[in-house]
Order: sequence, then C-alpha cells, then structure tokens
Amino acid sequence: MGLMSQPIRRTEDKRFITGRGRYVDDVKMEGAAIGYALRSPYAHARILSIDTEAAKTMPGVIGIIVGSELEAAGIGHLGAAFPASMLKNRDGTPRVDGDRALLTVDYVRYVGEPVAFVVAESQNAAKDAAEQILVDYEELPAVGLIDEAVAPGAPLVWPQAKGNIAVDWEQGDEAATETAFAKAAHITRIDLVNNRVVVNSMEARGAAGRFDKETGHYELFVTSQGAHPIADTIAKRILKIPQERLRVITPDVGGGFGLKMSTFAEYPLVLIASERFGMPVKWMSERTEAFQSDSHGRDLKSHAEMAFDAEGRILAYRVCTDFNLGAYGLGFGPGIQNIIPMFVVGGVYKVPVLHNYVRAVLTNTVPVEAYRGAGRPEAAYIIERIMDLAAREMGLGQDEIRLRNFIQSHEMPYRSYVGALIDSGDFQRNLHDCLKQADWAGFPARRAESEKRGKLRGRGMAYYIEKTAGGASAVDISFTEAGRVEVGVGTSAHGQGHETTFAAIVADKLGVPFESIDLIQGDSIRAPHGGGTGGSRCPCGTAGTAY
Amino acid sequence: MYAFDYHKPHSLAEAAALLEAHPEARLLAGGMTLIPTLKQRLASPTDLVDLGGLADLVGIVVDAGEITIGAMTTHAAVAHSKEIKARLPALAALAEGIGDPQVRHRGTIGGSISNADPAADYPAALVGLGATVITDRREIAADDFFTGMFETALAPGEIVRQVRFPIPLAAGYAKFPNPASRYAVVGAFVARTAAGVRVAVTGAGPSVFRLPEMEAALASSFAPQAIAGIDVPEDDLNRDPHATAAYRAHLVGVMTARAVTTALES
Repeated sequence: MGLMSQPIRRTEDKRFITGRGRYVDDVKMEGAAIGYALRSPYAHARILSIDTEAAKTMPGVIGIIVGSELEAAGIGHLGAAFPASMLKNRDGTPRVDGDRALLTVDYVRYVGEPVAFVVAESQNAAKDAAEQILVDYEELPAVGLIDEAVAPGAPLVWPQAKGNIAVDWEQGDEAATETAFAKAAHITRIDLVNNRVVVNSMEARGAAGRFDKETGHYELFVTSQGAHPIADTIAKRILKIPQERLRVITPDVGGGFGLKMSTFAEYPLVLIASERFGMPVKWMSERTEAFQSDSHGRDLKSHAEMAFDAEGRILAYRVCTDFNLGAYGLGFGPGIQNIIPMFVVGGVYKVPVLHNYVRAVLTNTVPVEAYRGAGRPEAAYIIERIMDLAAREMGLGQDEIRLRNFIQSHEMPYRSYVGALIDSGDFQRNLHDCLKQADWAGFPARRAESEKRGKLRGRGMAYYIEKTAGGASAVDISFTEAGRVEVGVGTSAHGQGHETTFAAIVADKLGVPFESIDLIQGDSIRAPHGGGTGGSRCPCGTAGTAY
Repeated sequence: MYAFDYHKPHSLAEAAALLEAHPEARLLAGGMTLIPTLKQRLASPTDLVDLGGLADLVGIVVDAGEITIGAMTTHAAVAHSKEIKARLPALAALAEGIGDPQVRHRGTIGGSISNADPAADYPAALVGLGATVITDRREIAADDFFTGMFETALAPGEIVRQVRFPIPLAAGYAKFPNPASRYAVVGAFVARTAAGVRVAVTGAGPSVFRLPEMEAALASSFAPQAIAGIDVPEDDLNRDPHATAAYRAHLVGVMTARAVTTALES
C-alpha cells in the first residue's frame, strides 16, 4: 500500500506547532525601515491638497510617498483579474472597475484607502509622522449599502457608472423562463441577504521588499496564496519591468481565504520605497487596519423565484442578485457573483430553464473580492433556501422535494441548462445514506425530548456542488547530487499541508523515501509558473500533474 | 502607541507621589482597557504608573460578614476563590463571566471599577451589594462611586486600594453577554439582605443604576414573578449596533428575573 492511501503525519506541522514557522514578519532584512500607510478617514472625499513638509521633519522619518509622485514616475495601477472582454454589460458596453492607484491622488472612495506611505526607522515614528501629514479633504456624500447605492439620485462612486452599477450580467433565457413560469402550478419566492464579512486571516497581510541597485533586481517577501500572480501583476502592470528582475517569495502563510490571492498596494509600495530610499522596507498590517484595508467577502441581496408543476417538479428558476463590489473592481471582485458561480446555479437539480440576472454595485466601502468559495456557496445558499421554502409551502418533506428534482445517476453524464457537464454522482443514494446516518426519521422524538427540557431544536438540509479545480499547473522534479528530490510547484500552501501531499505522491511514484523530498513553493523564480492556490485546484491541478 | 515613561512603584505613597509629579500620568492595573486604548492612540499619557509592584493591593479576606478584595486582585482569583464561592457565589460567578481567560488573569477589580465602563460587570456587583470602595484617602459608598459613563467619584491622583462587600442572605447575577467581548449588553445583580433587596443594572445605561420599583416588589415577594409587568422606560438607555434601547429595556426585566432565580437556587 502506498503513502497516498494511508494517513501520514504532516511534515510541516511540527514546525508550525512548535512556533518555528517562518512568516513574512519573521523575515529579517538588515537595515530595514518600516512602512506605514496613512489611510482615508472618509468614505468619500475630494483631496484638495496633501502637505507632507512638517511630517518629513519628524524624528526617525526617512521619507514619505504620495500618489502624485507615483503618477509622475509612471507607476501603474491595480485592477481586476478579468479582462474587459471576459465580463461586460448585457448591452455590450464595458464594465466600470474604477481606477485604483496605489496611493490615491484626487479622491478617496472608502475609509481605509491609502493616501500616503510613510517610511521611518520604527512603526511608532512612522505613525507620529503620519499624524503630521496635512490632508485637506472636502467631504462628499457617500453610499454604503446596496439599497442606498441603487436608489434614484444616489451619489455616484464613479460618474461613468450610472446608478452605481459597475456591470450587469445575465445567463439563461429570460423569455423562456417567463413562459415556463406562466404554466406553474406553484411559485415560491424568497428574498435573501448574504451579509458582508471581514476575512480576518490569523496572519495579517504583510510584505518586505528590497531593491538591489547594483543588479536592478527587486526581491519581495509577501504573505500570499501564490507568488507568481503577484509577481506578474507587479512586474507587468505596476513597475513595468521584465519578469526576471522581480523575485517574489512567499514563506509560511497563516491563512488565505481568497484574500491573499490579490496584489494589494502595500506590496509594490515597499519595493518602490526601497528603491527610492536605499534600504529594505517592511510593512505589516495591524488588526484594526486589516478591517479597513483587506478585501471583504460576500455582501449580496437576492430575490429568487422557483416555478413548480403540481407534483413539485421544477419548471423554471429565476434569480436577481445585486452584490456590493465596494469602491473598486479589484482582483476577482467583479466576477465573484456572476462568472465564478455560473456553472452551479441550478445546484444538483434538473432545472429545465432559468434566468439569472446579476448586478455589481459600487459603494463607498472596502472592495469585495474572492472569499471562501467565492460565489459558489452563495449560489448554493439561494437554491437550497428556496427548495426548503417550497417544500414547506407545498407540504412536501425537505427530502421529498429534493428526491423529486435530483439529477439521476442514470442520466449522467448530464449537461445542465447552464452548461455544466456533471459526469458522476448518485445524489439520491447519497441522500438516503445521509438521512439514515443522521436518523432523520427520529427527529420528532428528539425535538419532543428537547422541548421537555425547555430547549428548541431545529434541523436543516442542504446540497452543495461546486465546479472547481480550474487550471492545470506545471510541476518540476529535479534530482540533486546530494540525493534529494526537489519538487517545484506554482501553487503554495497556506494551511493545506502541501509539503506532505506532494512528497507522498512523488515518493510513491518514484519509489524514493518520503523524507528525501523537498517541496519548492511560493517562489516566482525557483518554482515553475503557476496560478497560486485557490478554488480547491491543487489536488487536481497540481498534484495531478505531479502524479 | 505614543511614547511614555514607565514607572513601577513599590508603595502606595510612591505611586501617589508619581501621580502628583506627573499630572498627565495614568495608573496601569491589568491594562485590559488601557493598553488597547494606547495601541489605538486614543490616549496619550506622559507616564504610566504600574501598580503591579504593590503586593499589598492583592488578596482576598473573608470574615464573618464581609469580603474585602484588594484592588489588584484579578478576576480569575475572585472566580476561583473557595471562600468567595462558598460565601458569595454570585460574585465568583460574575468574575468567571468577565471576558476570556486571558482577560480574567490580567484584569483586576480595581482597574475595572476605576475605568467604569458602562458595560462592565463589577459595577453591578458593587452597587447591587452596597459595597464600599476604599481608596488611599477615604471610603466611598458604591452608590456614590459610579457617577457616569467612564466617570467615578475618584479625585485626580486618588488610588483604589480595596473593595469591601457585605455578605448578603442571597444574591444572583445574570447577563446577556455580547458574544464577542462578553461585556454585558445588559447585566442585573440582585441581592437580598437583612436591610432589604437591591437590584443593580449594568450595560443598559450610561452607568450602573438601581431599580427601586423592582427592589420594592422583590422585598415583598422574592420571586421572579414579583417583577413581571414592571416596565423599564427605554428613554435613557444605551443604543448601539448590538441592541436598541427598547431591547435593552426588555432585557433588564429578563435578566433581573434570571438573577432572582439564581439567588433563590444559591
């Protein structure tokens, strides 16, 4: 029996649980200065002027960077991961992402948006100096909630985005769905709020960078879910330098959750500051700062309707969702509730026709980006809630309505209405097994027993199907003269235990000792190019390649 | 945080002299509120005077009718005191419900009452039991000690030494905790004593307050039903994202009834 088919003690855990993990904040660079971001205290304001003269004379201050200097130097801006052609409005017009400079120049559009970057000998000195920067703000009306933003006459976050709609998008057939609804014996309607969440990775964001003026090379240590996507963005889009002049290294990472997939302004800023001031520069987010500067998750409102025939079989499904994009469309943000979940909208059910209409709404809030499943759990939540409600309305069991609508195993491979090819699965048997294990039938007795003790008892049922594992990723395997096997991957672990996973696969296939394998990850130069770890892709996309 | 000078005196007199010499100094007890406030740059004292070196401010003394607790005694020490558990279990239970284990092992009774957070637990116990605050200058009745939101009767430079609690016939404390911080959204302390019943509420208003109508009702019948139907006006109660004033008013009745039940079971 190979290592892949048995439990193995994780190689990395001894390091983690004995406090020997090495995170960005543990990276020591001799003579490093500390960077600190001055952030907007306003949700929306025009910047009339920024005066850094007094701040620059504060003790311990090395220098201060403001947005206008970056513009003059030709430094590029942040942006969305989706090209304009991949996601545009229904009428074919381009979406609005807004234009996000590393340091804003003329307007601030959310509380926490960086306005200046102070570099000093200590964080305290940097904060003291930041308090002496005089920013003259003209406060403007702001919108925070979806309903406020789409209301007639609402203040606009971006003038070119009418009604604060960054992009509207649809899938399915609106007219055919309407026709099917007209024949319904029963229609269930539901309104749902999926609230905003702050990500709160245990290890906050951070970066340490240095510029070598002899070689013209930049080196960036950053906590991330993949060194290559960040290296690509910084080299191509922001610094506009050849890829080989930038090495991005991600050491151990304390939690990603989608947040650490993106390039944030502070990462190139430590490199720019290092080049400008002639010393390494480190920036570490504080917890309070993280709430204002890390991208957020979720924040959507949906109205959904399901049409059924007299036997409780789905005839058509209709969803309208508005999601809060925040002030800028960054990273995967614009596509989280439309493109990313588009193949799982019908769940595990036979939905003959559907129409899904999704609008991204701009507000004066922290940008919303990828977070834990990124759109797919939200889509599952909508359809599972409406199935439950429909069951109650029609007097069917929560299990019965699902049994009547499951895609059957004998129908597979099944091409769903939204185009997903579901090649395997036995949802019916899975439900029977699950009901048996959970003693579903014994619930009334358990509830009666709880009520006797003055307690309430409830239960729920939900199905989840996900299209995942997008993109295969290269793996390099090399053999050293010292007898070790180096496995290089373009994905990187932030808690998944990849040092163990990849060693087990390669040891099994090559017949070499598990202990002889070293995983090379989180390094944009040493490891082969890859898209980082996200969307549950590593076991298929990278480990599959290694196998 | 802003830069400050740190002092660790070894006598109350030395501490008082430091406060006298540095008018912008702050006392540091457990630091559970002060340190986060400093870290967020919301306070900028020139000096911190750490009371951690004053061993005689730590300790619990229980005699026939009273329990005296030193100002620098931690919540955990109160919660785990066998004598307090035996003689005044409501106070031990209150201390056990403050914050989390880290807070309970650092935070102190003197620090808590001097800070006078409107949602802190201890003020309810002090007022509910009719305790006495002993400072380096005088004795202050709990009813007179808490004067407003984060405000007390302490004069500048005055240092809390001890808190003296009379042991009641029965007492109970119930709170609806904020699920993240464990601060009281509303907390009610009820004590039945030879002199009558006292009810003190924390978390609901700007400062701890008593409920004379409920006290009178419980004096004639010490049972949760006795206060059913006594409405608490919401006018002066706190409102924030955690609870509306109306909800807090409702919780006052619920928590007081639960505190009475706890007192009856003790």
